[in-house]
Amino acid sequence: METIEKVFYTLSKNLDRLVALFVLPMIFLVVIVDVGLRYVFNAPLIWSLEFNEWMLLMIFALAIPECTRQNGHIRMELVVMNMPPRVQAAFDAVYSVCAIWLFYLLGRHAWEEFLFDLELGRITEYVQLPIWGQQLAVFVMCVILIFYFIMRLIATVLNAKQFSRTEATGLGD
Amino acid sequence: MDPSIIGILGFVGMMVLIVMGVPIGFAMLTTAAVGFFAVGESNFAETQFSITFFDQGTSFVFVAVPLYFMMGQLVQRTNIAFDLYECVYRWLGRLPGGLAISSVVACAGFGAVSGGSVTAVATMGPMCIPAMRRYNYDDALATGSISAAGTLGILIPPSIIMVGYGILTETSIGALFIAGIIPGILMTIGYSATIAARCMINPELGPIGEKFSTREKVVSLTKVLPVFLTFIVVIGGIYAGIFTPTEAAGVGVLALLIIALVMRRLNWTNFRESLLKSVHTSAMIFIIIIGGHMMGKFVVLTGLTEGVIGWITAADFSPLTVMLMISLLYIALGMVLDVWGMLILTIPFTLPIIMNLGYDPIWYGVYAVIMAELALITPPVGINVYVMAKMAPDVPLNRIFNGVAPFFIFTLILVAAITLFPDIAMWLPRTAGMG
Repeated sequence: METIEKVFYTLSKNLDRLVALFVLPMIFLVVIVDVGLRYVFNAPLIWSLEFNEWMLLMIFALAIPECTRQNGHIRMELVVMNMPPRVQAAFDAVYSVCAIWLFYLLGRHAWEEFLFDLELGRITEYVQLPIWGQQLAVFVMCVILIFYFIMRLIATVLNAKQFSRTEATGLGD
Repeated sequence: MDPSIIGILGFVGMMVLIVMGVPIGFAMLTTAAVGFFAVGESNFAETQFSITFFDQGTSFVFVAVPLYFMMGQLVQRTNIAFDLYECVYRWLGRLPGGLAISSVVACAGFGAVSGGSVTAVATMGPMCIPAMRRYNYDDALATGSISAAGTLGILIPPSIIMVGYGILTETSIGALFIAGIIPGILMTIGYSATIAARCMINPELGPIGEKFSTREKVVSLTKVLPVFLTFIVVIGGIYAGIFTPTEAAGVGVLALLIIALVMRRLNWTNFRESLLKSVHTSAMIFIIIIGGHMMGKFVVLTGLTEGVIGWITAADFSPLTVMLMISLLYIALGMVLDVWGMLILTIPFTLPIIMNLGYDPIWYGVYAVIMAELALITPPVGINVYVMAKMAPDVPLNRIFNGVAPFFIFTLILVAAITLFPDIAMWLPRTAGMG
């Protein structure tokens, strides 16, 4: 379990770093260059919107696993924290089951769309970015998250000391 | 089964999941997906979830979210907030309760170049608390004023909560920003006046600070001038129609990066941490917003809102009575939910009701953000108070909540004022042709 956890940890962390240190600065640069070119030279980048929208989905898809791993989602802990550990574990199991089901639904649809887009070779209009790339990113996100929540569920049920690298980050702002 | 019954069951189910500690975004997504199964075709939930995810995930407006977070992170990590406080303190420190007033005004300034609330408290707390302790300020006043003033960050533009509201309700984010300016200024003045009045009645609460020469005061202005210019460029650009709010966020990040570089306060660690934190928080916001969208679709599908509207119409409630009920609902939810959860959870239900009563969605955005500010300081969950408790661990939590109480009351007065006189919020966007 520790090894599997390590693989998940490395994968989600690296994807997160990729989008934070590469994709977000790219979006920022394109926004700035586009504004500059529009007002200084009256020649905006016609592809900026398309590029940023494509990249934005990458940010969300590839950052959600790490955000989830760090318990970064807003939750109401007032009641849960005052419950006995067994009840807390049961509630946590409900969360895991909900998440597995949700990401199964999304992942299945993304995989079907990925195959469809790949077959048609669909690309964006100006920069010719592959549309299947977005579907693939969402599918990868879903696989990672389903895997994470299955591990979490097993650990909750077995009362194992799992996900030792998980820590609350207080991302509430 | 009657769709409206499914809607009610869905709402109850969602609340149960939230109470069980399921993250609010996941609880909304699960409820909506189950609801879609109940009222639609077998693959309806899957399709709706996918469409919502891709629609929102490729929405250019959403680019603003990580960029405004980035602005807040840069202000927090490059000591720009310290310059703000130093400057305001030199100008206002001699007023009754001057240091606390300086904290409030500095928090407002912080809010003018960032979009968050908790970061404001976390940044200003360590600076302001030691200064107030040096002058024997009352603990409740010192901690309460910063906890409450931190909330100004989500009302004074740019505001990330307003970006979220705009995305969820498809309301102009630029208009929301502009509408937040006057209430934000009024709240800053009101909080400052509250402190001054209390300290005039009981001077021991907040003694007068040290004296500075005119030259020292003027010199302090030079350090905050770049921040002031950033605000003018970002908000002025939106007001004048030069930038979209998303582009303004990019320009704001660029301005702060240049300021931090010129002042030699930007290093790789700061920059990297700012990027990572911005991306994580944006991912969290994204999940909660698509959850809100899905719930909105589910509510429409079940006709739940129409039922509530029909009930209000039949009961012949006046708009003010409805607003009073909604305000009480927000205060109650604010006791147990976080700002994002509270807003995203209620807006799909309340916005159609509000619009049916003839209120403007831009006005409602400002109203909802002010109610969200209350949630940040309402016991038992008030997150700003908990952050402040970490900054001042020797001050008991109930003392901080006591210190926050006068500001809570003033905020309620402001809510009443903008409800009775919506032009307080709507005048500025109208003059810009946005309202």
